[in-house]
Amino acid sequence: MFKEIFLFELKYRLKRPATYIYFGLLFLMALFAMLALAGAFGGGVIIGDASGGKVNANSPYQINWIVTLLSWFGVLITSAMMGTPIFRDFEHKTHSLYYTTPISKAGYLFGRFLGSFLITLLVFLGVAVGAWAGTVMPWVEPDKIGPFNLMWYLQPYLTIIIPNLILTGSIFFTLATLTRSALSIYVGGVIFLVLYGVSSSLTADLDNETVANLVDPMGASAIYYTQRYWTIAERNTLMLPFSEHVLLNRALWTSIGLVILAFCYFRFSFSFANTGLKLFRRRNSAEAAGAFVPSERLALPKVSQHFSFKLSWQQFLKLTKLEFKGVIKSVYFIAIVTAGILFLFVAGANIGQMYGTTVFPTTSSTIIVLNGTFALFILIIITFYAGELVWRERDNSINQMYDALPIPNWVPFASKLLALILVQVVLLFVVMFCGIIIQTFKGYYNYELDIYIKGLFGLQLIDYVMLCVLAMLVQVIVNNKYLGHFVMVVYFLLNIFKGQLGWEHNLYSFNSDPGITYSAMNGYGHFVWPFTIFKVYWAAFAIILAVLANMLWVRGSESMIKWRFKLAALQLSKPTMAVTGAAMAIFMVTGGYIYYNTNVLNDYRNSDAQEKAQAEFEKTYKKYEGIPQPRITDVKLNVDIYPDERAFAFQGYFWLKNKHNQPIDSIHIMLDDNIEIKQLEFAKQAKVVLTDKENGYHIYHLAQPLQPGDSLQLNMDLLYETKGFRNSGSNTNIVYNGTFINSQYLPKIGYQEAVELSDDDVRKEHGLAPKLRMADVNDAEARKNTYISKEADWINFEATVSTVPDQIAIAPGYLQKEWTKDGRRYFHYKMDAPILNFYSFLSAEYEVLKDKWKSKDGKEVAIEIYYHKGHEYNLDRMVKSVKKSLDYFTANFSPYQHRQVRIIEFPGYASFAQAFPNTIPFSEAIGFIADVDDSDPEDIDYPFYITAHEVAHQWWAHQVIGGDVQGSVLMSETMSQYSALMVMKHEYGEERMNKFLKYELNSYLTGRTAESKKEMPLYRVENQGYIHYRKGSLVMYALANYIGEDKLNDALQRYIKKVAFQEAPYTNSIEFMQYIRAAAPDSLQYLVTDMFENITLYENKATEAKYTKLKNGKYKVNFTVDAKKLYADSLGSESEAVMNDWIDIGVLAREKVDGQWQDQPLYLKKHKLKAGQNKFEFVVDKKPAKAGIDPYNILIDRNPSDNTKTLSEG
Amino acid sequence: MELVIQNLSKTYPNGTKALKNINLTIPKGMFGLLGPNGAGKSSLMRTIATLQEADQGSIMLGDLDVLREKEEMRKVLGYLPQEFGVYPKVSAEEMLDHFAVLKGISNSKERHEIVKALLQQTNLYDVRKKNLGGYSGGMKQRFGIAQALLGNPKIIIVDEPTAGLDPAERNRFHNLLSEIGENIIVILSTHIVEDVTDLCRNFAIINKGEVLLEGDPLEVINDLKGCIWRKFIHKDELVQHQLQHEVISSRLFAGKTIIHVLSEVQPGPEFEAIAPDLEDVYFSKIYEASRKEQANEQELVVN
Repeated sequence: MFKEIFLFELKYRLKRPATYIYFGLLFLMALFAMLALAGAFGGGVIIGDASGGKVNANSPYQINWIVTLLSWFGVLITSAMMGTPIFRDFEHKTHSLYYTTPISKAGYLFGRFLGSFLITLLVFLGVAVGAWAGTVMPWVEPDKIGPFNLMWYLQPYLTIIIPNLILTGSIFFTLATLTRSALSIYVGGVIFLVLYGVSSSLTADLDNETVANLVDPMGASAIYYTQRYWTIAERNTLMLPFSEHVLLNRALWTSIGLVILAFCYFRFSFSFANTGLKLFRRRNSAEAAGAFVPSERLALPKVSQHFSFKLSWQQFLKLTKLEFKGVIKSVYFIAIVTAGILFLFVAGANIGQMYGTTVFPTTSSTIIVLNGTFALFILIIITFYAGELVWRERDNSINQMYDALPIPNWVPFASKLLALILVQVVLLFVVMFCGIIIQTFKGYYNYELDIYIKGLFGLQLIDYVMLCVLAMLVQVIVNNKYLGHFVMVVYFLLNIFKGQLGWEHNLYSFNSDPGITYSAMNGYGHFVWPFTIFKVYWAAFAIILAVLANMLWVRGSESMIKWRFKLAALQLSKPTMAVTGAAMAIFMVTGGYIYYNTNVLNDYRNSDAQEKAQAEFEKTYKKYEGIPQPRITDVKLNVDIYPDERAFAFQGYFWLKNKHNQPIDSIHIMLDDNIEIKQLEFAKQAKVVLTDKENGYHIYHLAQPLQPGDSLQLNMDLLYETKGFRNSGSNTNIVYNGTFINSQYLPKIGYQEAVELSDDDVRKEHGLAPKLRMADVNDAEARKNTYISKEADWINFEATVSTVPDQIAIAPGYLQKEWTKDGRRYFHYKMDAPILNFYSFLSAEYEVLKDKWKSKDGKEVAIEIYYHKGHEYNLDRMVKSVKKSLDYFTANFSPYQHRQVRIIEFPGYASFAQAFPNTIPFSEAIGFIADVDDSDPEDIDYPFYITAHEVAHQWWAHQVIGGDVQGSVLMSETMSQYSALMVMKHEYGEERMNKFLKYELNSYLTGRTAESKKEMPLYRVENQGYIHYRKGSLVMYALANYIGEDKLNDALQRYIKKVAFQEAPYTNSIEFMQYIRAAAPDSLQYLVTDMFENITLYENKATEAKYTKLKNGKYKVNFTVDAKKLYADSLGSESEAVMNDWIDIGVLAREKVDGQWQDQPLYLKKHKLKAGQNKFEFVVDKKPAKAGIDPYNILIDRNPSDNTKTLSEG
Repeated sequence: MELVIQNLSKTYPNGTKALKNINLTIPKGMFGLLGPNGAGKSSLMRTIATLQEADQGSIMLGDLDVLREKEEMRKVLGYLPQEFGVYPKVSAEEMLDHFAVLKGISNSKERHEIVKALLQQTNLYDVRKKNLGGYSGGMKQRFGIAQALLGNPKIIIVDEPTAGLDPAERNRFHNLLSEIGENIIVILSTHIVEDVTDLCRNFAIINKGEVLLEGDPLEVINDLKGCIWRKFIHKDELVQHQLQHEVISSRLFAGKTIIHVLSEVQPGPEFEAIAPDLEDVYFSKIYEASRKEQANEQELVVN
């Protein structure tokens, strides 16, 4: 019996076109994914978590991710395939025939299930076939394709697809079978999304890994946790192992799937009258009423019908109300929204998390987080309910009655559209209320309702309205609900990938705009106008779509597109024509206006064209690289900032000095091509030889060559104006409030290689050879420049900055004078000592906090914080940090070269702080609104930390600056990290540092997996953030621990003394390392080598740990640790290293310190360990809790949590 | 006012000729549309009800061009489709009120009265607050009738309205229809001959998209007088009789088979003359049509 049903199901399915269509879809998606990975659409596409460009497109890692991600989209297919096998019988009412045959329940259910399951699996094979087919297409780049291995394609089916299919298949099968309702399949989808979101939100906090792994029904977290620290070499060769994460997760969800199937079996009955399990619906039935009874003669009251526009309008409103109520009362809507709300609260708990510390839930950040979170649910609702609304009459078979009613054609469509739009309004209110609740719970009562209204109903609603129109149009045109849903999903996907496909102009990408970003300082600023124009443009288009959809509305039984167009032609009434005409006119006019702004006033280039221009530039001018050029020695500028016009002007001069020992006859200048040059000439006679405005390259030939040691003035009068608006990437450096422009806008002397393309894949596309990231650490030529500037050494700086009266303008230096003239406010700044050629100008409406720091020898330093009103939360922390930093750095390194420290807030369009000489621009997005809870030991005071880091740069960069070679950021970024860590350690204690270092360790290990070229050892770091920040923190912290903080600082002090403010050639990390080595005893030289010159990873682990209570009240602890050290090469291939290392061995107690539970060491000492097992026995005074190796995770270890083991008594 | 259908043809995308050059004039009163399943009755009715397009031909209601001025047609139309559903979670009263608004009855007092009256007439008044989802087939059918009568329809189209009704309900429904039919056009499609006999002053037989006969039931029965003969036979003899005579129908009666034969003269001694009824007219027309078709096919073969 089973066999017959099973085979019938197979045959039935194999005859269905849907089977092949689904297969084809998955095939195509996988094909495109593989083509994208293999560089067919340009470089730099990665699927999965952060990963580098050297991972092969057909590596087991990438194939596994393609399969995993497509299996998520595949859920839609699974629901269609697995929901129907039994449901089909109810739908076609064949169940009465089936249920009266002598088949067994098991045979019927499992036969159908298994048949469909196998076919679904077959459909999913499309992914593997498609992925493979991608690799043999002619457009792929051969070096992205590794060797073929069949198992790499098949294994993901065992680990991912089959378990997922068992789970999702069982869910959809059971839902549809028991509820006998096609709609319930959607509820399954929603539950999925919820589990998914919760899982991924929880992973934001590292401590919940096990939970997050287990609650992920699709196993992506398991893959992520297993592979997250894999290096390129591992990703290219290793298949997903059956790790603990994978096994647990897969076993759990497969069993859940089987349990659901078993439930289905026991709950299902062959009863014919059984109308199915009602999950939500209350059953209500009317008792059979009496039949027609003879009554008196028929006498119907006379009624009057008034057909007028007023009536149509009434009908429209009434229908809208009905449709709207129909949607919001439906159980699926309530289920989706409830899920969404749950989701909102989960996301809302972690607003703006950085180092595990959240920010204050300001309205703008709340909106951003909640909107982003809820968007998925809104897309689902729009997609799903557009179908439901369009099909409502037909689904209830009431369409024939309806369509023959005397209502105008526009009424049904318009009322449904309006109802769908009203639903969006309701949903945005839900978002708003959730936001207010979250704010209230977090004790933030400044609700800023106007920002809610603007952000939600001013901006977001517009997007949703347009989507509603599109979704309705799609439903009307394709005239098949499920196909309509599918088309919408494809549309959403295309939107995600449109950049990859080169569709970048917002003029032809429905509903797109140049973006609009909120900043507390600048509000929506200059974004508003282009956004509005684009939305008007697309609204006009949406009206055309709506009219079209309305005309093609299916009324009656003619659903063929041919007939519908004929009928549409009949409806071309005057009002329709007028509306369409007006919309067309607006569409054309705004489109023209947009084109004028984006392509005429501004240059429009898509990324390909942009890359091409960069490549051309390099090909044309690279030949001038390295020719002797004079160097900037003095900068004197008048800078006029016009925030309202978003313009600025530079007037003034550079002094250029020939520091070479040969005369210079031509000077090359590079300048931003958006700058209008009013004057750019030398004080001595010179002829312009080349002016390439397009590329901003100018060559001047001096009448008299500049002799060695001579100087000349470069006078300039430059104007930067913001013209109209751009298609994307508007200039956020110059804004209404919060201008932050830096020296990049000023003329550059000589060819600047910074403009070259850096991605080797992209370079190859344009026929350029791969580029070295940085010159060799020993490159003497490169060391003639600092890594900050190739055109200057130390400069004298003076600037007068003017701005509007209500703003304060700031530049490096000391304020000499402030005055107002002609309605503008002027600030004259002057530096009293030479600085690097690296400066910035800021202007905004600021509040100012002033404080002072006094050094031991009585020198005063002014501390000023320029902040946006309302952002007072962390000013004290910043001031405290500045003071503590100055304390520590002056005591341990060298005196502070300036008399002031200024922190200046700038809008959150970028999230960084940057140290200019005695001037620290600090983004409003990091730190100013951080919500640090001092009573929570898990919270990291990152405003304090970042401030300390930036203050440290006044030493590490502004005193000590390395040459333009590998390893130089070791002496700036790494040392600033170290300096800030030490300040923080003294302020907060070692215990809290562990939490911080844990984030650094995770960032380093994750970062190295995304390496696009080579992982360098620390002393040769090539501007690789994960190394110079993250690994740097870990290494320096460990070094201080091993050789002693004071000893290390002594060495640093000596180094600073030697190299501070030096002229070319600049110091390098080799020189720096000499000082470090000198500070380390012989026994630890190996450690210095391992940490700076090797890529070293430990795999330390505590294996057994026991304690016994001794008679004298002490405790004896016995434990075994397993030690292992590995060296990795630049691609991550590892080899085991001989080990004879000093490593901490510790026994820890758990004690309450200041009301917080903390680990307290009972025993902690470095022991010399060999690789493999090491046994220890100690007697400690108090009751021990844990014991192990490197308990504070000072060394780099991919599994830090197994270093200690909880002791058991025995 | 008359409904005049001229040269109406319709071919479905799959090639089925649903309507072949239909010409009908339907006067005020009840008009029966009789035909076997799949004859094209519903297609014709949907076309009249503005729900389906025709490839050719015209339908005029007085001066109103039904196929073009759909909105005007809908204002005077009451339509009960053969199959229809309801919103399960809405009560009959609400739903009827809703339809009344859509039919242009904007005065709420009038609307309330007509809804009440219709619910009473269709005997749904007691269950008017119940959700339609819980209605039985018959109740649902009555609800459909009520909605078709909303407004002041000048033409009512009811497609197989008595399917699913028990005999008593059917009678009551017929009464209702015939009263309405006194002043307006009512087109009733059915495959039950008695319905037409009972109700209609005019009718048409349609089969395979063609009108086989149009007229007054009494007249067409009269035309057939003396041409219908009856014989009791054994069921084994049926094939033989079909070969020898023009057997238009056969049915079982008390274990024996009765055949009706169409013939101008007495076909044989065992045959007795009977007074024809509308059923005989119907079957004889269907029989003639199929004979003609066979003849055409034979011609084709011969040629």
